[in-house]
Amino acid sequence: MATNNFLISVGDFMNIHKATAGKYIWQVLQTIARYLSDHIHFPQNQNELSSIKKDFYQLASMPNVVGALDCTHIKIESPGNFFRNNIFVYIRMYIV
Amino acid sequence: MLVGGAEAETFRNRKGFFSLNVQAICNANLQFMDIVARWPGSAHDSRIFANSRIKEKFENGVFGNSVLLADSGYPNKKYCLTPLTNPVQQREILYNEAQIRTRNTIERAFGVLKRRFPVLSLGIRLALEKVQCIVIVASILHNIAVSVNEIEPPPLPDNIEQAILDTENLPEEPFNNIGNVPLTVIPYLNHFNNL
Repeated sequence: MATNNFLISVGDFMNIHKATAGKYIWQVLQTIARYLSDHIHFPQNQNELSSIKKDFYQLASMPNVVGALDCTHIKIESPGNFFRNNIFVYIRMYIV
Repeated sequence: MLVGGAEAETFRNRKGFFSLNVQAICNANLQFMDIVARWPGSAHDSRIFANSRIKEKFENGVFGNSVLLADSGYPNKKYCLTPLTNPVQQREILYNEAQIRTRNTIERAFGVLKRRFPVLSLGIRLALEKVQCIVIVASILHNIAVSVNEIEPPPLPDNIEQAILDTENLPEEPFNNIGNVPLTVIPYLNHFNNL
């Protein structure tokens, strides 16, 4: 995940086939993901809440802030991406 | 990412490439406190928030008078403050500056997350459920790394930096009306009166 390596090279490093590597990596990911609520959670008591507010206040004296909210796009690939990309851009340009 | 047929196009975002739109809320230490990784790239940021569980909690007053800071893509609510579109008075300018500087934490959190796990910015070629799993796991590991004071990853080579910028710098569509100050912001403006 950190290196964006291919399974075949990961498998080669561990002396296992890439199918085996893929299977176990998937299992490890699922296991870690199960602990989501332990690591990613909102403050559960007043003390935590006020310490977060204090941290935020120290940044730029903005009171009462408990979190900063935003969205980000995680890039993914779609099959036939290249073909569709071209078609899509073409059609869009036509309309414009 | 293996979405085919009619479904695939819903994942195309307004920038033109396929993506998953991930919403996150972080604290001042760049640790994530909430993450939603289920919406396709075509979903607007405000739509994700409107449907999220954390919004319900804020609506029901679970966190008292606490607020979230968001960019202008979100609606202004009493628990969700956005920057003013047209600051005139001194206190409005100060509010905007403080809002932006505090909100900057989430941008930095995403930046650090994507530097730690470049797979998130280079493009994932797996089934959708695995992509979601990877996003969640990356943010969990990121939180752990921050809590044990792991050093921040070094800056990336230019081409990868550019890939991240491409996914980050999407044009903002101003959501709220221009000119008048929303009622929800006024108590906070009074705070900046005294500074």
